[in-house]
Order: sequence, then structure tokens, then C-alpha cells
Amino acid sequence: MAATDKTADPLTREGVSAGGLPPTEHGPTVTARSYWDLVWRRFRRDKGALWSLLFIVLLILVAFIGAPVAAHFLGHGPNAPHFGMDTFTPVGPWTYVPGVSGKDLLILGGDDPTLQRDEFLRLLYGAQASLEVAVGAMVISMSLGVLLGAIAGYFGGWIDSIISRLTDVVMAFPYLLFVIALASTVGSRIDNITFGFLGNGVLTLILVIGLFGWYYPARIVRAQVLSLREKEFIEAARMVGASDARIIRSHLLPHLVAPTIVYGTVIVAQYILAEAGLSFLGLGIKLPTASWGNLLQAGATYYLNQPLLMLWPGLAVLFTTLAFNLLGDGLRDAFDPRSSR
Amino acid sequence: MTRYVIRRILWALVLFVVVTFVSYVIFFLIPADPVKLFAGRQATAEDLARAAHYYGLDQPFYVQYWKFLSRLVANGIIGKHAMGFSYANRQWISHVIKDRAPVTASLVFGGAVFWMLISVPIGILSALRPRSLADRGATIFVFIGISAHPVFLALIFLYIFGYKLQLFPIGSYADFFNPPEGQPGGPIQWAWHMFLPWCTFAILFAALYVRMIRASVIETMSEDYVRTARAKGAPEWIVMRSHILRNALLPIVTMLGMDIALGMGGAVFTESVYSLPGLGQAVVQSLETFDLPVTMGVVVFATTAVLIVNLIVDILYAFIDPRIKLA
Repeated sequence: MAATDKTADPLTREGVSAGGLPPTEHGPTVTARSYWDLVWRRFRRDKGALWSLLFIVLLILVAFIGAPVAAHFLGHGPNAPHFGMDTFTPVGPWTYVPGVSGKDLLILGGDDPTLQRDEFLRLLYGAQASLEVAVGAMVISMSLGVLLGAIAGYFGGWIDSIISRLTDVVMAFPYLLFVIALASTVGSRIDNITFGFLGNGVLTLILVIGLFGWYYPARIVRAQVLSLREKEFIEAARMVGASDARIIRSHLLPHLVAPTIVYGTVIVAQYILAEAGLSFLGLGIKLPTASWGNLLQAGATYYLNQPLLMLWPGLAVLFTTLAFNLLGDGLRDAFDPRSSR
Repeated sequence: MTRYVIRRILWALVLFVVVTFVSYVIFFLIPADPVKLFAGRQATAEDLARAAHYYGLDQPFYVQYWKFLSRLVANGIIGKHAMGFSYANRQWISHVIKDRAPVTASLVFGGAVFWMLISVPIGILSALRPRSLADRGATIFVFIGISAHPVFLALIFLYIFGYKLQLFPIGSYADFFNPPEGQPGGPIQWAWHMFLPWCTFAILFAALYVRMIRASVIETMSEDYVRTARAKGAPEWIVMRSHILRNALLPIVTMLGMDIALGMGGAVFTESVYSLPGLGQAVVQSLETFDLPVTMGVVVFATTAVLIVNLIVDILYAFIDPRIKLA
């Protein structure tokens, strides 16, 4: 009974069925561990995933709080140029350059021979743009994917055929080439829409990356819903007369929470790479707004003279992507212990 | 079987039409003013009207698309007149593609050999000894492989092996068959110039394949027929070769076909960092000059290649593995 229950409904209070001891007057009361409690207990054992979570939280704090604070203390912004340096390469780390108010310290040096903007601040502000793009595009992909996948899986028939064919079509496109095509043609028109808080070009990337990435979550959710649909608890709900909307909301969606969180996390990692790639090609975040992609581009230009310039954004992308991938892996094991390697 | 093949071919044709239609919309209808791009910057209103008429841009767009598609099909996609010419230097698109496709092909196919050479042994070894030291090492390789950006890897490789150690050339290409006057060529030079690009290109896929091969081998090892083979006393290497690997690597071969096709897109980064004159670099250069016909030509060519490769893989797979559902 316990085994079938677990596979059928992860929201069952496993503690009760596994412990089997009803609270009595004599013994201590056995409190049931909730689903989320169990997930957290399994997640906690994965040290790599825990450190990744910590890294991501710190990164968000550094990007959105640390960056303005650092700019305040250094006395210049990430886009402030420092003219008058007589060099053919960006200046090296820990250099004082003439600024608006006396000498400005460039902790990681400059980013460009003529402009000499602060690489350190640009790296911090670049994290904002990169995270905004990755998370924003993830939200679009996942909402579209879960919605279409759930509809296709639940209703089946011709609706399923249409949505499945649509996923096949999107999968047949060479993803990167089409993203490049869209970013180069549509991009220039919506680059300036920022809603007051996004960077220049962030919305373009969110739309372009997000709208092409929904097919993978859609396929996963569809497969999941197809198997859930045949389970007894859905049949029971239907038998007592629950409407489709109610069955989807109360009986299907709770089961989709785990895969959505896991794939959402992994997709953020992919989108950080996508942002870096597109901005590297000059199609993403437009200068002077900083992003890890266009910092990488600047680094690539001077990599023989100032190799550190490509190392910083490169490592930032590597560690962030790694953290999201490890977190996703840990979450998958925590949600579904049977999948563990 | 015949029905399956016919259905599969029809579906590929549908995809071809959809993909060309979408690319046509993206490249010729959305950009601000294609006529201006054709006619040049100093064109007068009269010039513009003449150019619009000459290129057929004053017709309704379904007529334009129909003409585009029929020209494409009539000239066999890479024929001389299939896709017009570049805005920037009036070069035939078909010429650009013929020049550059071999470079991309040598990157992608060489890279595929590399990633199979890396991933098959690592994947099998880590499947044989789960949770061993080697397996943990392989897991670390997988995570770094899927997390590192190809641009970053390429720059690191170039800096260390090209610049510091001077083992490999920096940013040049040597043609296999007929190099331009005064430039290195031939198989050895070619392989030497391509070695770092191959490594860069292969790492991402190698990581994905290690993960897939490991999972596939572990799953196959718990099959009943493997237990039966062991029970009847077959030597371990025979069990491994004929029962486990033969079945575990079959799905990997299908994936390989699809990924080689998808790799055409991923080659953009490797080519642009290593300055390889391939299709990816053509796309990047055409983007800088807003040379849309070239971008479009490469997209259409690459998509068609992907469709054809997928079609061939699917049909071959249906022959190799009769269990496949022919619905």
C-alpha cells in the first residue's frame, strides 16, 4: 500500500504510512514529515547542490546589491570612460587612472584601450543582465512548455497531434541559427524597451531565447501527463464528477511541480550560455550595457595581451552554469530518489 | 515499411516548406526596408522604386515567397541561381556556401570522431564501475563539459597551446585539397590546424555522450538477456561485446546523426574564435554588414542539411532496429 501510494501521489504524507504508528497516550506522538520536508532532507545530503545554491544566492546578492554599493565606493559607474590613458591595450589589474573626481581605482583593470571602463564593475553589473536574460527566458519557456505539454497530454486527440507536430517543427529548426536570425532582424526594434528596470537589449534576448526553448519542457510535461492521466486517482476524481479544470489544477499540476523546478533550473544554465554566446556575436546586450557575453567579446579581442580579461567573464559564466547544473541535478535526486545515480 | 518511408519523406518536405517560409518572413519582411539594402544608401526615391520592381519586392508577399521557393527548388538549393547574391559584395550565395561548407564539414565530422573517441571509453568505464574514482572523475568532466562556453574553451586553448606553448597555429586554416597560393595545405597541415577546433567543438558533445552512454550501458546490463548470457557461461568480454554494447550503443548512433546536424549551429562559435572560413564565420560576418541574403542562405542550407540527415538516420534506424514502431 505504501509503495503504490508513493508512486501515485508524492503529496501523501509518507511519514504516516511508513511509520505506521498512530499517536497513542503512551508513546510519543509521531508527527508526519511533509513532502517538502522529505525533499529538503534528501537535498541536504548533496553537498555539491547545497554549495551551488549558496553560490547562486550570493551571486544574486552581489549582482543586484553589491554592484551599486561597489560603484558607490569606487566613485565611478560601470559605463564611465577613463580617457587619456596612453596605451594600446586595456590597463592591467589594480591601476589608478585619472577620473572625474581625482584618481579612479580599476580593480580588475579596464575593458578597452580608449574607453578604459572598469572591468570589475562591469563584471558585477554584467551579472545583472545575464541573470535577467536567463531567468526571464526560462520563465517564458517553462510557462509555454508546461501549458502546451499539459494540454497536449491531458486532452490528447487532435489537440495533442497539433501540439506535437508543432514541437517537431520547432525541433527541426537549427536553433542557434534561427535565434541569430531573429536577434539580427527583430532585435533592433525592441532593444530599447526596458520597462524601466531591464538593461538595453535584455527583452530581445528574453523573447528570442525563451520563445525557441519551450519544446523540451513541453515534451517532458506531455509524457508525464500522459502517464498520470491513466492513474487511479484521476479516474476517481473524474468519477465523483470533478471538472477538467479542477482535475488539472488540483490533481495534475501538483505532480508537475517537481519536474518544472528541476528543468527550470537546468534551463537557466543553458540560457546563461546562450546569452553569453549571442552577446559574444554582437547580437545580444548592446554596449555600453555590460553583460558577461559582451565582456567575453572584449576579452577575446585582447586575449594575447590581457588574457585576464577573457578569464573573468569566462569563469563567471562557467561557475554560474556549473552551479545551476549541479543544483538541478541535486533537486532531481531530492524530488525523485529512484532516479539517483 | 514503404508506408513509413513515404510518410517520413512527406513530413520532411512539410518541414522544408515551413522552415523556408519562416526564414523568408524573418529575413525579407521583418527588416526595416529590404529595398534600401538592395539599392544602397544614396538611392533616390526613383531608384528605390526601380530596385523594388527589379527584385520583385513590390509584389504581394505570397507571390514573393512562391518565387523564392520555386527558384530554390528549381536550382537544387545550392545551384548558382538558387538564392541570389550578397548585398555586400555581389557574390553568389551558392558560391559562398560551396566555398565554406567543406570547412564547417571538416570541423563537424572531425569533431564527431573526437567526441566518440572520448565518450565511448569513458562512458563504458564509468558504467562498469559506478561510484568508483574513475566514475566520479567522469562526472566532473561531464559537468564542466556542459557548463563551459565554447568561446571560453577556445580562448583558453588558444592562449595556452597556441600562444604560450606554441604547439598549434593561432587563427588560421589549411585547406585539405587545394590551398591558396603560398599557404600551407595537405592532410597533415589540415589536421594540425584543426586539432584545437576539434577539441573545443567536441567537449560539449563528449560530455553529453558520456552521460548518455553511461546510462544506456547501465540500463542494458540489467536486462534479462545479459543475465542469461552470463548464466550459460559466456565469457565476460563476449557478454560485453555482443550483448551489452551492441544494444547499448544503438540509440547512441541515432543521436549521433542528429547531433552532427545540430552541430552545424554550434560550429558558429568555434569558427569565429579560430578564424576558420566556414559557414558559421560567414553568418557572423554577414550579421556585421547586415548582409541578410548570406545569413538566410546559410540558414536555409543548414536547415536542409539537418532535415536530410535526420531523414536518412530515421530510415536507416527503421531498417537496423525492426522493433521501432512504424506508425
